[in-house]
Amino acid sequence: MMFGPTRRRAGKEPGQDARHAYQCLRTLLDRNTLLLEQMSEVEADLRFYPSTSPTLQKRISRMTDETLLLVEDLNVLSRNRFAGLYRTLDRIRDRLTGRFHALRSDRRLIPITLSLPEVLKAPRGLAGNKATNLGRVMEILPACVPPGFVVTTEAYWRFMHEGGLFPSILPLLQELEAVRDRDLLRNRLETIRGKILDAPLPEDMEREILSCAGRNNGPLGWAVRSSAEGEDGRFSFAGQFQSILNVPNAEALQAYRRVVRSRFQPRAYLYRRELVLREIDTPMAVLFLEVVDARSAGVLYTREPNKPDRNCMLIQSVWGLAPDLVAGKMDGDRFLVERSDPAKRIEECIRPKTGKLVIDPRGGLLRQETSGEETNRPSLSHEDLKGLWEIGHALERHFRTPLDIEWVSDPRGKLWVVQARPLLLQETIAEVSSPAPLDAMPILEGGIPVQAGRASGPLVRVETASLPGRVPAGAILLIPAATPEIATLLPSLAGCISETGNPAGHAAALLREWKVPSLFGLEGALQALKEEKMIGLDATHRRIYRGSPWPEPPHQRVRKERVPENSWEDDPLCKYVFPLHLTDPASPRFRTDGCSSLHDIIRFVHEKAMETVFDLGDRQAGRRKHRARRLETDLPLDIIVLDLGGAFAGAGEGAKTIQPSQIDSIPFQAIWRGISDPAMSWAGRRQVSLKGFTSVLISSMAGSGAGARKLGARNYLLAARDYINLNLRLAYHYTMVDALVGESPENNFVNFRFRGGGARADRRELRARFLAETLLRSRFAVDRRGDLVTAWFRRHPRSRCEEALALLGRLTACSRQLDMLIANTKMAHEYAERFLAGDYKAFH
Amino acid sequence: MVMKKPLEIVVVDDELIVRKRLKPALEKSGYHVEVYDDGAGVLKRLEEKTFDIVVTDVRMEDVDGMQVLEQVLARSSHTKVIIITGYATVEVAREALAKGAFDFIAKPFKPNDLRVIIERAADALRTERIRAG
Amino acid sequence: MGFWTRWDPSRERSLAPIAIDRKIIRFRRLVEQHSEVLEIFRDLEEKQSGEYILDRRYMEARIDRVYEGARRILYDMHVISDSHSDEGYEALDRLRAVSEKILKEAFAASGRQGLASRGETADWETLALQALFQDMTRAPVYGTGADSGTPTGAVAPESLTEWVGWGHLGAAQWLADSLPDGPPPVATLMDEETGLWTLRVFALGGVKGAEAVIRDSLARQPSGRPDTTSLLPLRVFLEGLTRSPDEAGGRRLRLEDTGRQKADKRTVRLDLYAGDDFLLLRLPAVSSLRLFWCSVGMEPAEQRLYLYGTSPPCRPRGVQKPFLAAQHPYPVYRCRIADKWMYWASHLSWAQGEERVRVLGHSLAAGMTLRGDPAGGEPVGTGFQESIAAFLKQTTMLQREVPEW
Repeated sequence: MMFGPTRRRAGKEPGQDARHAYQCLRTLLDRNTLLLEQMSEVEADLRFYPSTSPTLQKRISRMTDETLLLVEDLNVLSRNRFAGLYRTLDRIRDRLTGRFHALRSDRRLIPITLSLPEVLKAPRGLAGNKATNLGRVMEILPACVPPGFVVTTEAYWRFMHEGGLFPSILPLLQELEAVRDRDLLRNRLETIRGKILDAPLPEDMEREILSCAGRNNGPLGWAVRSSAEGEDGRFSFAGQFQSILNVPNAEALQAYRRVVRSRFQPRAYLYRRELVLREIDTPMAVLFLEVVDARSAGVLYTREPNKPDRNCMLIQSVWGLAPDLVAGKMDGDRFLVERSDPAKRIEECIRPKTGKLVIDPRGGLLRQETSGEETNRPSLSHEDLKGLWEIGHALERHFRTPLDIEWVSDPRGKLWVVQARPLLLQETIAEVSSPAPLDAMPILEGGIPVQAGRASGPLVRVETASLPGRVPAGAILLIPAATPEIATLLPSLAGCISETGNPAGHAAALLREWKVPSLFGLEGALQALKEEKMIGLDATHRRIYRGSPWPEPPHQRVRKERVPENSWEDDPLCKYVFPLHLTDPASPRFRTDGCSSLHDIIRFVHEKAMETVFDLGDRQAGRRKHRARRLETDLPLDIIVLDLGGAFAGAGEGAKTIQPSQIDSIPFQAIWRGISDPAMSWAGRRQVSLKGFTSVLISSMAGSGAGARKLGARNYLLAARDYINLNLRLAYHYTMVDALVGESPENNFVNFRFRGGGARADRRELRARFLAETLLRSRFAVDRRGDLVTAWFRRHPRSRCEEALALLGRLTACSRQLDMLIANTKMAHEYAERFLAGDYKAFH
Repeated sequence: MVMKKPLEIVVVDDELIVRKRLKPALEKSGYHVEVYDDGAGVLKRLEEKTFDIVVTDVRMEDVDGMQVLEQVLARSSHTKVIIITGYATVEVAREALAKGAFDFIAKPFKPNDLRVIIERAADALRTERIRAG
Repeated sequence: MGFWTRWDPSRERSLAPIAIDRKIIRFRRLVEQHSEVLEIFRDLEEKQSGEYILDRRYMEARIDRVYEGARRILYDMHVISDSHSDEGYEALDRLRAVSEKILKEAFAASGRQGLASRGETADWETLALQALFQDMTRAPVYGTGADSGTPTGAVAPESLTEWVGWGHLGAAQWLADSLPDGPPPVATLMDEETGLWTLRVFALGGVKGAEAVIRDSLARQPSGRPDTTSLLPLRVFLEGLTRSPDEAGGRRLRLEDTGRQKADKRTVRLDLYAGDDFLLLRLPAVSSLRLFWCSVGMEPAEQRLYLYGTSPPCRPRGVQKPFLAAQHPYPVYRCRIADKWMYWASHLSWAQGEERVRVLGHSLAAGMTLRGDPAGGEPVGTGFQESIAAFLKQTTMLQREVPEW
């Protein structure tokens, strides 16, 4: 007896082939949804993984495999009509695997450690800003920098990914995004930190780090500090990560882990989260610098932070090592020296110094009492000051920007530079109000965010139409109207508020280009903020605070660097996965050879599968009855309806169209009630958040990821007495509704799938949030991943199912332009409230 | 000798089996447990008494768990709310956490799993009280 | 009215390379699906203990999932074997109706009885779950390791567990017997000593770098700084083949001239399909072991080993608890239907997985020693057969270390 399925000749039994086709279609549709989910997940993952990550590559490989099976399913369904698609997919797959292979080979050459002199020759981003800055110092003052090495960002990625560490942290991280209860937050972060501390390092990494650390033959250990990408550059992160001083060689590995895990301390984590930084932008390198025995140490600012126009340098110093001074925990001696002449002291303030931090021979630091005369003696001599002054000038010239330098003077009087970064000219911490808790009260709310982000700084109110020629660096500008003239002020601005202004206008574009957090449309702000001197602007959440409610470090940046927002889109890898070129099924380009990405193929298969099903229907029924008809309606919808059995009972034979009322299908009537509800408007929009509209336009013009779909592109509906399968494409997204509604609740279900297109990722996600909340509160079970929403409603009696379907119909009708209306999570919630309250006018 | 006050817990769930199983399991750990079968009832009770821990099912007819959560948090900053969610409803859990729930537990679960979470919540409460002085 | 016109195989032939890929990738999905289904059974078994507070939605969701999994397994089997058939779906529908009925009746009963009368007995949800589980796992086709006893499992499946096992085994058999000739192999390796068996290596999924891996293995050189995650199963298998456990023996393989097309009738031919993270080995019909499948991944759940064959190497001995994994890092499960069997292990650590693949290589190498005189009519591959039996015994013998539960 033969094992396995008995081979039957095709076509032998009536209905057998239809059953087989049905199984095939079901599998195909399932796989289609799965692929869209996977794609959405990979897009979300790009927030955490760089495209060189093996984990990400594996996910893309899986997607490619799944797409291959999808194509096979289509060919099973269509009797091999689309066999040419295999070749197309093979080409794409070949490019992808070629790229993986190239990335992998390149990877082997990426170093785990770099010595400081090598740092500048290495690819950007490998060493982190702190180390890179020191590298630049070494260019002109090689003798002033202690020997050291950096454990690169590549090592960080390997540490995170090779032992499976990151995948175990990732779910915790994702959950944390929603958490407000601070105990829970602390708890979870502690768990994450624990995992990092216990995680093994890859063997070769261990060897290399220990080998580098072992080169320190002296009695003193290492200063181990973070050198995060983004740190000391655009975002200062100052004081957020742990520095460990005087680490013995043997403890280098544990010190590395401790510094790495410090990014998950509540302060550091919240800092990143509030700035909405992607994990991918902040990988961490760790700098090991040989500790210098310090007679005294401190900081040097090549311009006075409060008053940059005053021509002086500010130097602060203490006896011993200076971590407390740098962290703002103590005051030291203060010298204000004229930039033109180190001998001219504008100010000099010697403070009593009661203690000092010195090297502990066992490792770490010790606090020692200062001897009597040390307490009141200046911790810096004239020679030191002159030496620092010279260093300051030399480095400022080299970096071409004012600098914030940490220095050490050793017992022999030699000056060392241990850190250098661009000076952020801002008020000192003393003038900023003390950090408020997370639930700080804003003094003003509202407006339209033109550029997300936050800033704190001095408020510059301009009541007239003419702008001042200059503003202090790091100012937040408040103006009655945003005109392009603000361009001249942009380099100095930390933030911008405008009472009126076109979010799609030129000024807004400029602010976005310079990434200046901005709010427009905040009427009455000039009056409301009349007395304010320092404010905190949270453009993302549309709030303004007195002073700064964030645990900001003493300095904030002024230099604007262009940080590409979607840098991953440039990656050739993504070119073959996400972009959708096949947008219009009616276009002649909609063919197998028109597919150049996985997304194209998925789209193509879905469309052709539905077509094939309709062809099958025609053929199965013979030519006598037209089983497929166009739905007659005034709405801008082009729907082809196929009768699966009994749905056209009310219609005459031979007609090419059918009216909705003639379709004898319980679930169809229910959803149609919602779609055609007169309270929903299909006419267009009166008022739209212009930023959103711009975003949609930009995306569709750039052609990246979204596609411009014509309103009313072909849609399909399969209908039977108690079943529908509806596939709708409206504007920029697709909706699929699958429902069985009969008299017995046990078998009833309503399934809903929605995936967005058009607009940028953040807008699509907001729209999905709106849908998810609305559905959840309407008793659906909901699963939302990024911008893909799946919802189901099961085992309910007929009437409840019909209500649910009507709701889906209305949602579909109103969700078309939501990406233009909803600008932030608060609005997503508000619109959900409105929808549930029946206020459909809000969606017009 | 200082007597530690037993933790006051209220459990809200419209399913009898949940109330039946959880009450004795938690009482065994020395907690004082009151049970309610609907949100409206427990809200009335909350007007009279402040509990340390509120455990509530998120899906109930009439007044659901989210409303209970909101009311509790509005009334008392020293009450930890734990929500019980149904199978595969992560979105609901996240929403609750965002609203300030201490934690959530999804069915199916063992009473002991809930007890562990309650203990954590109790720890958090103790820490808060110590900090508050 | 015939709706299926002639399936056009000619277009298929020209696309053969992709065709092999598809079959094997689909088979991989089938294996994963089966694994998921068994995992659900395991979960149901655990949740029915009475300790859990259950949820009706949980049970509905599990039923949904498990039947959908079964449906996909059947579908994939049909597509892999080009069968154009719909066998099995109706049976699944019937079985599902039974499951739903169990749930419905239990729910109705809970209302009727009133809970006051229940006292401390299990709630209706737990009782329902117990009934469900029992119905789904009716037939004893699963077991653990090397038991002895009479063959079990009818050829025509009845319960859900039988159907999924049947689907899986059917697909495996088709691959073992009917996988067509595919793209040119990356390399054809021949045993230097006897010249009487060949190993053809195919690279699947467009994966690159297989030639380098093969070259390194033959030269017995470790490659530079190893990119350990690429083509790992291939690498490890070849290691096992070319080096014996004590480094003393091991077969020497040499690369065959691509010119030599003629296959010696007596040649024992093995086909190895290598992907980036998986490996499928096809053995000729002389062997009772016909297919070996393994896959690796970051998670233990992704490490899998499957062995498929005909006629039992060891006779099964009744059924023990099939699903709950013992507290052993490495239990081996089996499924037998008629004379087709499969053994598998999953949730291995990387090291364990690697070790097993290497040992398979060793065993094959050992089996290449031919006994007797081929000219005298003794079939080539006898030693092969014995060696495989030994390997299997060793693999399944690990059960001996598992405490009985």
